[in-house]
Amino acid sequence: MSTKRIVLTALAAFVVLLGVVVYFTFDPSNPSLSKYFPKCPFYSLTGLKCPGCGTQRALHEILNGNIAGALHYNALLLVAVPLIGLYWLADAIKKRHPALDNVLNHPAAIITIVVVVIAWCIARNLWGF
Amino acid sequence: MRQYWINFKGNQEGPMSLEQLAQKGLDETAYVWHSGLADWVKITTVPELNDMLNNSAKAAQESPAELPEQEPEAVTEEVPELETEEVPELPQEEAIADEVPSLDNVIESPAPNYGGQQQYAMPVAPQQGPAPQEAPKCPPTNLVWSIIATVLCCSIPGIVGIVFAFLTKKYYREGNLEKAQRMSDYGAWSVIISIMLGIISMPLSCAMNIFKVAM
Repeated sequence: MSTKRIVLTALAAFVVLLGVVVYFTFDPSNPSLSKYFPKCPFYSLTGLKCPGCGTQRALHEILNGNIAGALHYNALLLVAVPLIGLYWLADAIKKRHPALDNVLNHPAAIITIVVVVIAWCIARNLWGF
Repeated sequence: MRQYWINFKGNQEGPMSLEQLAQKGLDETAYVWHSGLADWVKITTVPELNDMLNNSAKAAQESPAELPEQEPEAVTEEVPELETEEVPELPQEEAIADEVPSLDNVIESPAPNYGGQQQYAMPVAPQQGPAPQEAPKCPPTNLVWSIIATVLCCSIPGIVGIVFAFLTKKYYREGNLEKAQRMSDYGAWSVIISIMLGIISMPLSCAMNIFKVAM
């Protein structure tokens, strides 16, 4: 590992840790606190929910162990977090077990993600998830 | 009987006989290797396989009645090739020099003279050499970062990034490395734009919120 890489990794770890602490402690859905949290630019401009809307509130719920609450604010996040973990795991064990990585990076798998994200975006605007 | 290894649409298979290859539905984008070759070559540079491709293309175009005429041809052309191993090599090298300048290293390296007994050492040799579809790794798809950008930062460029991840893999599997690399770069830019938009909009959004509340 080069020095640059170590610095970048440390920086990333610090930002993630800071985020975890902030979102664990403060509830973005609390009206008196919500003004300190950034709003989704897509929602501010169009009035439509994007696939990532509600992630901050959902993060707070996940960090506090309230899965049902997270599901309520952004169900996609609950799918995305384990999926991202799976991708990282597959990448880490790629050399010895390439099968998982091959499946996850198959074009069909990637296009499925695109379809799910877009379908989720349309559905939540139609039925107000 | 000569055995062939093929690399077609990112998949490597072999050993196979000429008859088995004919069943594979190969096209000109396939690469092939057999004992006596220093490295993978385009399928069209191996005379007997090029004939096989042409025959199957003709057979597909012409009426089924003419099929039997094509097949004996393929069989007869197979025979001289079995007797003299070196024969195909000269036309191959010329063809490579003309058509595939990117495979320069193939010509520069002196072709090791594989004996017939080395047939079963074959699958190893192609992997070490600069195999056209094996050695170049797939350009990064940035898929995980695109997903993170979609959920955390700014969704729209994030989704675009996932689409570019798909295109990267698609072109890579088709053997079009140049396009795959370009799609990979576009994907990386999508993620960067997504993160930048997120970083810019965050303080802006907070400032506006606080300003609104204060009013």
